[in-house]
Amino acid sequence: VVDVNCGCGNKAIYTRKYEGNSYCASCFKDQFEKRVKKTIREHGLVEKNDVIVVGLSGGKDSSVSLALMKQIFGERPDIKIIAVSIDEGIEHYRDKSLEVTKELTRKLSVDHYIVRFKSNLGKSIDDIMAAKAAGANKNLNSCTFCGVFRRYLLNRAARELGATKVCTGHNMDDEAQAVLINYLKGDLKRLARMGPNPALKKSGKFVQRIKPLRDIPEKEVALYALVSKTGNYWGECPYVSGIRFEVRDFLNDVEAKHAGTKFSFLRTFDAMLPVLRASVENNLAEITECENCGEPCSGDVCKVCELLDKLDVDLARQTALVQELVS
Amino acid sequence: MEIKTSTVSGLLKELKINRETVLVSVNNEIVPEESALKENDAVEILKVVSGG
Repeated sequence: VVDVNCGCGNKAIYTRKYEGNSYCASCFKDQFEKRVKKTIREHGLVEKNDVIVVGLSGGKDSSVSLALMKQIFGERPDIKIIAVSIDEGIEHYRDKSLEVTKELTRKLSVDHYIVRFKSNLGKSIDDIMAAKAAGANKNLNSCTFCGVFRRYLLNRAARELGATKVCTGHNMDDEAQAVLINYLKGDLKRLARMGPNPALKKSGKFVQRIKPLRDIPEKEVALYALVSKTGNYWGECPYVSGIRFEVRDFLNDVEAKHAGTKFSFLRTFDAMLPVLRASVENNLAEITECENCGEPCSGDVCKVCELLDKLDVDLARQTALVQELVS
Repeated sequence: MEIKTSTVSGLLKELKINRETVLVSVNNEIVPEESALKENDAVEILKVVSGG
């Protein structure tokens, strides 16, 4: 076995198994940026006069996503980019990653807000997990609370900042996992709402989501973060659990044996999406407003209030969100 | 540590690490998995899959 070379003749750092090509750092970086731009262009993810809130956890995906949005659109006078970090309150994890986000937004000169669980919902994930350890809500895992609350706070923060888009760092692996989980759970309605062009929600209170890294495998996002020296946090949440991680391992096992599986799985799903949407469209519940907090939901009470009720917290009709401007 | 293999991918197999979940650097340079390993190479394995 000899050293592997890129098509340009330089020493390769990466071989993309599913296409058989090898890339040096410089060609990998160029090609990565071209692919993200192509995703944005093909699906019309960014439009004139957009105010884009980028959800920034400090991990590789959201950090790369912010850095690229700034690189691509930073010079456009009509487009504004704002970073919003959600602090779930996980000691020794989120506090560390928030420090990294502050450095990154300073470096990129991007306005940055932090929205905390504790100051807006009354409880942090550490509080919820401590109560769980003491016997409360035994059957609910932390990711259920965290995911629902995080999406809610990010959407509200974006809305209050006047955003037209919420940009997240979801990569190809995240998307393939979500598709498979919804298949396994038999959740057709949720499947119909996925895809590169999420079906537009009927409520004006939802800010449209965009995922510019959706066509890039997780491993390549990590490689780009290293090669471009983005500056991100590599730690892992101490509470991770649930079906997502079993599905993640399963997909990676299949991918290792049959390169290209994740890619074709997601492409097949995208191709089936119009048919799926047409068939479930009439069954999609009308979006109403939560009778407790006024946020959009598909029943009487939204998922956020339903979960907060289990924690004995009443969201009621809040005034403005508590957002801390970092820079 | 003592290893039997002469490539990065062989090393990952030996350690039962899925190549989809890591990046590997040899002597501080990231390398493709089919790269050769020599005696006394310093190998670093970085876990790239994250959990939230």
